[in-house]
Amino acid sequence: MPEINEYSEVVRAHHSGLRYFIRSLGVQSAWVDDIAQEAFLLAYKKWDELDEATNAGAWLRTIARNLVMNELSKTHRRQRLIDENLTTLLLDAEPETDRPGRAEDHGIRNRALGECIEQLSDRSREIIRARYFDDRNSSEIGDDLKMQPATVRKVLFHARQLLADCLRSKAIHDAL
Amino acid sequence: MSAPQHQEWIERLLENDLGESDKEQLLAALKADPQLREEFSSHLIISDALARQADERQDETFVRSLTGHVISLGREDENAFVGGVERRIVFRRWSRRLAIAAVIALAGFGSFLVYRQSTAPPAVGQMIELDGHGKVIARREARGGSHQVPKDGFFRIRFDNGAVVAIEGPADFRIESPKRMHLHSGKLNAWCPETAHGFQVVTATGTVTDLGTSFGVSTEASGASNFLVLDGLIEVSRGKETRRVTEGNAVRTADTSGIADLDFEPEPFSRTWPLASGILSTSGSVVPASPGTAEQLSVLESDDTVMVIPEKRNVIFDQSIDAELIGPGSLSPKNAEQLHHLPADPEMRLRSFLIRYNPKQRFDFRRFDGEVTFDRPVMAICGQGKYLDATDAAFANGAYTDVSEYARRFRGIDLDQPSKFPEEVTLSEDRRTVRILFNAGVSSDDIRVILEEN
Repeated sequence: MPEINEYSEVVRAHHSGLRYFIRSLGVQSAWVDDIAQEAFLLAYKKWDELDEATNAGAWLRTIARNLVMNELSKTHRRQRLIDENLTTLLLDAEPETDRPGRAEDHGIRNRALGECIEQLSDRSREIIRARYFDDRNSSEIGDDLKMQPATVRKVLFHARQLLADCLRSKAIHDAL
Repeated sequence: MSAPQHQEWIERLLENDLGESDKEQLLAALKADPQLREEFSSHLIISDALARQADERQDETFVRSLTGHVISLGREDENAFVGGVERRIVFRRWSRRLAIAAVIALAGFGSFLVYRQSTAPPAVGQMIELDGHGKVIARREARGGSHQVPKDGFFRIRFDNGAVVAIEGPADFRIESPKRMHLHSGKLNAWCPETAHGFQVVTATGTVTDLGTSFGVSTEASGASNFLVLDGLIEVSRGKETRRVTEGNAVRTADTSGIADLDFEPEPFSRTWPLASGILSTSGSVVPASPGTAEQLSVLESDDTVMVIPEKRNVIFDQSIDAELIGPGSLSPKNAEQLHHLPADPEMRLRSFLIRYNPKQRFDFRRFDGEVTFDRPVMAICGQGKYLDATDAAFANGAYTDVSEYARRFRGIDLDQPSKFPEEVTLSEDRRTVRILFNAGVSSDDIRVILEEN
């Protein structure tokens, strides 16, 4: 088994991508960290079975994927999922092998995301901050900014799309 | 690029605000369109990244605490390991604290505590978790950003500004700040003293702002929410619409409508209201009173139980109190003459509960034995009619309406009853539990339990 310093480097290198991967399978935001923790725990116990440390990311994803599948089979734990049918669909669609090149494969670094947020329009940035930093829903944001909630939702959707594009371009840039 | 309808559905799903029918349509679209699936996954990921963005150093805290916890459990023997995993799942809310302890013990990160204290969200109060029987199973600091999704049991949060909130599982709630929390689903009761006026509870379809009161909120998975006022005044807002709601009234907000009147029906809050009021548990013949306004509480009757009825809160202690019990021990015929005098202290705020047997119609003697545990030590217990009368003006919900000399004489605990019908009140060593033994007949039996509010 790895020593604490060695394993903390493994966690540091992979926790971000792993948590985003778990979230992408339709796990409720509040439970993502718990499932990530379970995945790291199982990986630690089975560390000797890992061929090479460089494959740890893909291996952790496989473990996390199995843990999410387990969620589907345990009725009392389905509350961890946004919707069990949605997770079934996303699991079926998610290739079991690692697929490089997506923004989340590199983890989403806070600094990169911060830079991307700064590139949004003032209004989009204001709405993003209200939604994610102040935890307000679209109706409340609409009240504050005198906008229809549906318009707020549309701005949020497009802002996230712009952020995803921005992060992808940064990931490609970093890889060069 | 996804269709506008899909975008709207995805956005509502991310806000936990999508109806079942729309969800089914979204799922069908996701199933049929791989590109839409990819787009949806990306939105899930970006939304999570944005939520984490608020605290840049959170990631490092996660790494350190998780590593310590994993290694602590991973080095146990196989059976202990499995047990550890099960413990962690069942008591998941303890995991961070265990992790922190493990990191400190294993890695000797001397600076970690300092680091964590400087980066953890600020504490906004104290939170206790109780099981379905009212037994306290965890105590911890309540912190801004804390998100809980209990399947069952209860949470009681006492904010530093004095607001008290009780939540019943299943629920999904998030503490935002000392003055604001979100209730995504479930039900809660809140009580706010003057120092907490302006406290808000936000649901998917409405926001309640306290204006000096005790209120209940319940919200359904659809986002539809009920707001009910047990005492005082609240303001409910939805979009541009705002309504003030007074004691004994209720309103409902929903996606498809504005703020609508609702029948005042407090029974769904029969578990959270006592908890917000300070009653942790009861047993035997003693039960918490059903929730209601002060007027309703003052006339509650039951042939079969002894009720614990919350009375006035935040009462200035500006008049002295005579009480038979002010510490651990019993009041019984053996010490019927015992009396203590508590001098006034206007710096203190008090509150009280009436423990009352008030039959609708009984003409026989009946024995009641049970106890109630409060969230704080009891300061004084008034057991006999004359001491109840003397404290009514300060604490009672309503006037004691039966003014006949006979009724007033037998109003309190009867310490001169025949020995085969003894009455007794006992305060536990920790001064939190009051046990009663009543042998009551046609008249009511009351005692008043007084506690320090602040």
